[in-house]
Amino acid sequence: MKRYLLIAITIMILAQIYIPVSMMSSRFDILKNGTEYKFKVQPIDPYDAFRGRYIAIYVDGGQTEYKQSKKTVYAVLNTDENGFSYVGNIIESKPDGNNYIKAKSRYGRLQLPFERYYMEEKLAPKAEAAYRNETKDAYIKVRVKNGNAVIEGLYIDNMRIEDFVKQNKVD
Amino acid sequence: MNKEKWILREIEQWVSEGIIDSGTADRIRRLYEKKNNANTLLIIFSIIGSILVGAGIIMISAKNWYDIPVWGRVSIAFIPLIAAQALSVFVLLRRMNSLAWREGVGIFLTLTVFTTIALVGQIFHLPGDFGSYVLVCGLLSMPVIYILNSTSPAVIYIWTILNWTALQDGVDYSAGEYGKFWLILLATFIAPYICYRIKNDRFGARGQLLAWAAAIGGFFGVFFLHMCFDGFVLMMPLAAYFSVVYILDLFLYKDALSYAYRPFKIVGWTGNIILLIILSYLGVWGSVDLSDIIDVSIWPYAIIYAAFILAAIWMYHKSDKENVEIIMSMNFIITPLLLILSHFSDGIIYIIAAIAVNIYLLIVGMSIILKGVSEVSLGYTNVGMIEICFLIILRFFDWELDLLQRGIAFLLIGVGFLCVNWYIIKKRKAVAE
Repeated sequence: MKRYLLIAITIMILAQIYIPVSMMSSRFDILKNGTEYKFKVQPIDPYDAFRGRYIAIYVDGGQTEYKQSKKTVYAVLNTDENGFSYVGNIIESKPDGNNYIKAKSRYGRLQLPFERYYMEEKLAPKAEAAYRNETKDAYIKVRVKNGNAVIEGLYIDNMRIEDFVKQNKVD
Repeated sequence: MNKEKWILREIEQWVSEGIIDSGTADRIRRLYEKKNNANTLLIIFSIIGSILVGAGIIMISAKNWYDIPVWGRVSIAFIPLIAAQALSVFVLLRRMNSLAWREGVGIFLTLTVFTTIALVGQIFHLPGDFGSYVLVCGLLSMPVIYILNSTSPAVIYIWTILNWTALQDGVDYSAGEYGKFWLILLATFIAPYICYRIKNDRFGARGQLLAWAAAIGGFFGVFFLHMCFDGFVLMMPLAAYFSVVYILDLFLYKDALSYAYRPFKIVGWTGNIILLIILSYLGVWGSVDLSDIIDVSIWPYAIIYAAFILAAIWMYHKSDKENVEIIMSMNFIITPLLLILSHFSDGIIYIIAAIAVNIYLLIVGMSIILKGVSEVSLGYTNVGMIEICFLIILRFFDWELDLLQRGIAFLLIGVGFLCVNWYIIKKRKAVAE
């Protein structure tokens, strides 16, 4: 009996390690080899009991509405003259090329796979205040590969938000 | 039956057969009671301690150590998980006889799985989707329930699958979407453990904890699966569920020493009474609309309902029941039948349905009082009295019925009560003479 339990616990341990490791390795690959895009955003500061404080990200501009709910869709990316990207079109079949992100439609809206930027608990509210008070442009850098996207950083005034908050001593 | 309970029962037998005297019996009882209390305390403290340590780790890791490089944070994310896994292997090899170790390490491993996945999400800013997050964590930690024979992770697993079902489609899902029925498959992973635990430890702390979690979790499961329907359609599966768990109690817990040990009965009874109280209002019946279920393919819902009916009939047939229990179990038929009738008709049926529910509640209350009186159980009598008094208060302030109707109804019921009282007193006198 103990032999079977040992086999079972080994399988469980391997699964418990494999799942988070595979989640990480694909993200590392995207960060290293993905194409970089910048999106203008509006940051707001909420809280998650398990994962801590984060900045909720709302991407500015581009197409955001999609009538059919709960579908996997592809957001085709365009880039404006200032180098910022936006969603130009939403389609249900995989497009050619690499300038697209796999996303979901929910409540009649496009839900891009970057909606949270986790920060230290004291910095997150300050980051939101910095954006609101100084009305600076905020944007995120995102790496995209094969339709999968990972956030590289959140920037205000061309400075990483963590550094911006620390340097500008925002209250 | 656990070892302590078995020996306490045996002692009575030994005393009655003259094998040991009552003094020796008392000394043995005290020894086992002390041992039992110490064991329960040890288990509870190990669970609370592990929850606190796990929650502490979750909070510390949620802080987001931005200054530490990504690889450093990734390594930190895995430390608690690997420590908990090592501990669980140690328990499997060396401490399987200790319940406190099994429960403590089981819950600790579960919480560290939550921590590690949360940290990976935090480091790479993964999108929210709390439902999927808890489901992944629940599934990854579920085997520990069986491997370490540990109950507290089972309660967490029940919570994770319910949470996923509630969140997966949000508030806007329609009856025609069947993704939520994965809940039934996910529940079958834990069902064998619940059955095993209740069968082997019905009145022990772990069996009771799991029975409460299953009874309440089952209610939420049925609720989430049918939430897409109009409120009155939802009452049909809920009435069926509450009646099934009520009958399940007759099947499993008939020999319980106290009602506090009967979670299925308490959940089933309370749920049915709340549903009936809502349906006791006349205004409710005019707005019953079952057309929701006509527009969708209802076979998944019909399968659940058929399963409830078959389970109820089988258990009802097998269990040893009394009048009071037969009356309460009848809600299995009464609520759905009245709802269907009122959907297909109008006017007078609404009044008949509302009156029928009120009379039914009155009969339930009366049967409880009568049982309480016959068993000289003050608790039982009081429950019946409270239920009837509550019904009276509701109807007294029910402005949908006019004063004359309410007045006549109160007079008739009051006279009925007094007549029954008079009859009982007369009968007692006759017996005494």
